[in-house]
Amino acid sequence: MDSQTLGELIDEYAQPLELYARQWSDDAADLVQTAFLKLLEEPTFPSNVKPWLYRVVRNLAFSSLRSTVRRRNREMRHFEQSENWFEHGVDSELDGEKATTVLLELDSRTREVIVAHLWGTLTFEEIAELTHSSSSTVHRRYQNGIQQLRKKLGLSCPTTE
Amino acid sequence: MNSNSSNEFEEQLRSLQPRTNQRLRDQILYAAGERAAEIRIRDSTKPKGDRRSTGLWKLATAASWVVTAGLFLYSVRVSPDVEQIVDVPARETPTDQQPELPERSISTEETPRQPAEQKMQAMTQSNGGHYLNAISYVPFLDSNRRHGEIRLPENSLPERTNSSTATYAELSKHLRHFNSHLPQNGETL
Repeated sequence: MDSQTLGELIDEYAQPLELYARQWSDDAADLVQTAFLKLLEEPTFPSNVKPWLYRVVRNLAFSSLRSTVRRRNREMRHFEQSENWFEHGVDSELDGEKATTVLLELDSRTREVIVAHLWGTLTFEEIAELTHSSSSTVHRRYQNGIQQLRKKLGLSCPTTE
Repeated sequence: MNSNSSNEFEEQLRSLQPRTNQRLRDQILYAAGERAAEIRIRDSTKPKGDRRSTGLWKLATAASWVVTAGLFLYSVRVSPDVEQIVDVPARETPTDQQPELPERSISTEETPRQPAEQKMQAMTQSNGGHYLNAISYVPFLDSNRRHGEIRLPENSLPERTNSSTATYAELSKHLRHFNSHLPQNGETL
């Protein structure tokens, strides 16, 4: 793989991958970098590189969380500090900080599906394979998560309009 | 209307740009360049006939693991015996207690009935018919023996006070009775 190809992959996937890794780790950028270095060392280029990168980042993030207690503490610290996950000053009708807060209030599995589908542009089938669950379960979690986000962000639910 | 509203909301969410490290791209490319250089150097310094890549090397490695595992299992298996051997001298044996003799089977072949009877008859005669002197030659009444000890039925022997005056006929009678309790035809105690 030449540097130009690697640069294009970084431009396309690094940013959403970092957001995806930020759910579990404070060192999201390091995890993304490690994932790209692993890609570089792969003897054969993966047939579908995007799910491959997400799987590597996910495994790295879970490996960094040595125990459930530590994971829970870290999630609680994320929740308390509520570091903004989104850029400031972007032309969006939603507030990034508030979106970060409500995302952190979601169940971790629901939040993973939302982040992977909305910003990672992974299909439900790809997320199902990534999370070892069925496509229908992933789709249900996504719809449920979207409804919760709407409610928490103060927007009316479309099903009640 | 509802689906449009839902899609609009998803689009609004998607319009939020994930915050990223602005130098992440450069960092990854720099690290990738270093890693690529390391890989090139490693590949160039690796001889073609590197023994680690040969099947013989893999076979030797596997064999060494098998031998190591076998030695470990063998050591685990024999360790109780070794511990027992080592522990024997450390055990305190009371001086007034006789060492325990190994248990062994006693058959009629080892203690033929006729020689013992003849021996006791000779001793009884040489000791003036003293029963206890004769009976002490019966091998099973060794007081040091803990295994294979014969417990005679009650009243199988005459009272000690009367034994000194017992005749040979009476002793023979008691001896026959005694012998009837001995193992027969290869039986063990």
